[in-house]
Amino acid sequence: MRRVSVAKILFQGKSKSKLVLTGIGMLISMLIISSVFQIYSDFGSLLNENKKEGAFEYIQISKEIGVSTALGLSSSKFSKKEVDRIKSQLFVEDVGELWSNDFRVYGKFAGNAFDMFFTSIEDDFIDADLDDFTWREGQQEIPVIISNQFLTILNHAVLPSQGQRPIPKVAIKQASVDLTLSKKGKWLKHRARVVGFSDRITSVLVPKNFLDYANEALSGSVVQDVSMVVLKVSDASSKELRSFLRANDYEVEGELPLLDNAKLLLKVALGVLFAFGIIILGVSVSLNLAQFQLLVLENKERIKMLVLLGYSPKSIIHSILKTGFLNMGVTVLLVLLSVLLLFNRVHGVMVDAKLGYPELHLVTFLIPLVIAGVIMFGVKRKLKKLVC
Amino acid sequence: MEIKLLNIVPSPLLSSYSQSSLLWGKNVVLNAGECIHISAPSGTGKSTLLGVLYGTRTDFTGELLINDYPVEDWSPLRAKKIAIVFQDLELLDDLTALENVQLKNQLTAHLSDAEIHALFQEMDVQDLINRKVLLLSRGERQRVAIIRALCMPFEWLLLDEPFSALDEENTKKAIGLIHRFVKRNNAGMLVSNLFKDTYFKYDQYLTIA
Repeated sequence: MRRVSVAKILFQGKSKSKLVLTGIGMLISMLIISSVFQIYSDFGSLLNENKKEGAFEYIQISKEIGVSTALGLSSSKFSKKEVDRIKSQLFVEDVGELWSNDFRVYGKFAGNAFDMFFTSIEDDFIDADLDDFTWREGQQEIPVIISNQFLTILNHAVLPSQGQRPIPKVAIKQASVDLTLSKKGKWLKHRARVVGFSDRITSVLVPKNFLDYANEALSGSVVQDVSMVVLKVSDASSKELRSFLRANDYEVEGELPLLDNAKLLLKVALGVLFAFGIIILGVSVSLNLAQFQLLVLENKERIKMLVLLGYSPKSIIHSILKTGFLNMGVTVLLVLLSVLLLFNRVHGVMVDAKLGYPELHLVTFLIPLVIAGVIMFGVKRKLKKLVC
Repeated sequence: MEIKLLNIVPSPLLSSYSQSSLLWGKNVVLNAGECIHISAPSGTGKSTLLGVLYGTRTDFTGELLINDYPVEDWSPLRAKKIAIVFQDLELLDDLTALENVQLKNQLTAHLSDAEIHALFQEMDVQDLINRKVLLLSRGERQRVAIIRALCMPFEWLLLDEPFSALDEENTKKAIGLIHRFVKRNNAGMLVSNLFKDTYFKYDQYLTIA
């Protein structure tokens, strides 16, 4: 038997462009919200890689050298009071003090002589194997940990410029440097051997007890003030931390802050995009509800007629919702397909750039479904109010 | 299906209805399968009565009971039990004559397409079957409205001045068709008219005024 569609009667003569436009708005908003979630989780895992160790980040800071420091009017070192003040900040988990040598260090290796410097820090702050990083009084060989950055500069800038071949880490660990430590006619002879490499601290690290011993032996006292400090923080991109560093003219060493800036920028960009998605979603939902409201108002007489014939308000609402569900279903399907395509693209880029293997989250798929469900629930309630 | 009107008086007639009315303010029982005629001049509440019986008028005092119960949901009654031909016909103008009938028939799938076509033929409107109602004359529309009312397994058929726009020949055809369907369904029928008529063999004549 041929059937006359109730929905067709009610949607008869309605402008299709309005429905299509609302659908497009809905599609864009769902796509943005889903994508923001997926992108955030993709790049979030990438940018948080430096948090693997107990989810903390380490920032090496020093005092900015200004004219007053150059003229000797202010110190470039951190006093104990200043270190305590930094430690008391809520966004700082711990502070590692970098002590430096108060004597001259003169190194000699393979016929080349050069000036050096030493620093020390608590072992907890060192991101290298510490098994061989110990020194006992009387021990001739001093274990040294150098920055990976130094090694990179040495192998890619210094040695090539002298026509020499780069040295691998294994070879560097085997070599030993003859050292002469001196101050005011006093001197000490030692050998240094590299036992590890650090990404975190851009300096030449020696055991603290050796530095204290050498400072006392050559300068007559243990150094109290520290030249640099390493901050252990849970979020290097926190606003409070940045304002604190800026307000105190502290300079940040290394590349980590650049990464955090990128994270901050990404967070802001995704936040703006998310807000934009929410706004479009809000507008689309309002338009959608208004359209259904208009549909009912324009069809008041027809709906009345259908009710007179014996159609229950519930069945009329059901017929309208069926059309709504169909439109929403197509929209959600398009969103899911677009998200898949987008993910495929991002996945390709990240894998090519060796940035990791992002995973497609179930939540990314659930977001448009949940939004669609909430909208249809809202539409149903609105229709119930208008038709019944 | 038995319909009881207990002291019903439409609100607009509360101050003006006649105490001698056989309907308003009285207890009236419309028994299943009865054929009842209602006559009254214009403006005395004929259409209002049919509205009360079809659930479109709720502005009255008293009580309406169907099979001894007040009606909570009119939709199933309208879909299956009570058929009506409105005085205003209440057809959807931008649907065709056939679509108007199908819209009613599909609620219960009471008649097949062939049976519907046969009804259009019997009422001599088979050529208008695919024409939009908007383009039909009053008489043609009235015939479509009668066909539509018969497309359900009704227990009561309410007719509000059903032949007002039909000529004698078409009235005879409509009466024959209605009579056949009422008999087939073993249904009751209530016909309202301005005057006493002899279209059907009535069991009761009720005067509203």
